[in-house]
Amino acid sequence: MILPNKYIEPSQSLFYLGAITLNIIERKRISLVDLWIGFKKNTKEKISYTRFLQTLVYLYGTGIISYTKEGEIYNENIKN
Amino acid sequence: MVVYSKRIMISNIINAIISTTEMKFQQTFVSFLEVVCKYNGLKFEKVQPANGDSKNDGWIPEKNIYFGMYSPNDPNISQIKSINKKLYDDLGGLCEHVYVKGEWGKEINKFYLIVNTHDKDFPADPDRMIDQTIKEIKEKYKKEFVVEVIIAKDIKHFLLDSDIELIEKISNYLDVYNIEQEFSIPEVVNFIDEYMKYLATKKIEIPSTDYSRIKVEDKIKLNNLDERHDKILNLIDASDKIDKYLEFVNSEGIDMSNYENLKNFIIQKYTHLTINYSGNELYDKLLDELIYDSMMDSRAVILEAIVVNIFIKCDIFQKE
Repeated sequence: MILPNKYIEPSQSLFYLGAITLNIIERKRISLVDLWIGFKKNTKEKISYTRFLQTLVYLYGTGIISYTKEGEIYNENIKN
Repeated sequence: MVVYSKRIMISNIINAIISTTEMKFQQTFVSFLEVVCKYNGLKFEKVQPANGDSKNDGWIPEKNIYFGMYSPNDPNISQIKSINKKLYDDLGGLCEHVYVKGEWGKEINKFYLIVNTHDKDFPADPDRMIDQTIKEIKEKYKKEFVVEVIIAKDIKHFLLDSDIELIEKISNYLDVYNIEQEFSIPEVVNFIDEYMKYLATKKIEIPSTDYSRIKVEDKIKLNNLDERHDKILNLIDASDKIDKYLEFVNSEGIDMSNYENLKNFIIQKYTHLTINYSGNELYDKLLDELIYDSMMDSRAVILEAIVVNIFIKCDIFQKE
């Protein structure tokens, strides 16, 4: 599920979707809704909201992203 | 004649029969009976239903065995009351023609009512309506004969015990290989969920795989699968559908572990069979071993499509 293999297209793996997500977040703090809108625009294939949430869980679980008390998401490795 | 997996052939025959309704079901099942009777040295007499069939959907004259068939268009109609009514009308009507009007063989030794419940089991009959109806008709005409109500999908038990030669004849006569074997992604989801119940008690090892692949044509030659060449290529579209299923599962974030388990089970089964088999025989034996008894009522083509998909991805059969 995380890495692509013969049965998971690269564009559907969490690894790839995570990279897309980080590209959208960049150096800013972003709300969940704005991030989801940006995610949909930047993924060529139709990825469900469930899959998007799984991507966030993967990024959060690996310590790559975090969130503020107000619910804004940011790149843990690039703090403002 | 190329011999394919016996169980796959049986599954295709059952699907060819139970996927039909009304007149088409009757025609298909009559064709089935014709082949079986001829193989056993008996003559089956078809009865054209046009202008009334005198309550006889077909019979074996030398044995006075009669058949009735029931497959309503709406599968939800096949409840016990409607089956019972059909039995009462058909058997009662047949007795009237045979014992009162002196038609057909003038005697009934056996009567079989074939009911198409599609993929469902026989409906519950706690009030024993079927037995009551049979008893009532026998008492009315003061005759004794055998009556059985059989569901169409249970012919698999008969076919499992039959020679491969008979199964091939039935497959050819019903033209099962030319019947459209379309299936949808929800059907793949259901198929895999059902297969998980079968795998629930089985130990499945996780195989080691790599990313190398070779072309399908080369792989067929390398593994001496020339006799399965056309069959595998015919299933390329079905295999693409499995890829679409995987795309769907991954894009929706649905748990892939069921598919992973099935894939690993297939690879494990293949690895075990390579000890004693190779080539076409290995391919057939693999399919035979993957189909379990109650699975034969469902779409074996989905299982074949998954096997071919794994074959194309080079997780089974040699690639060098």
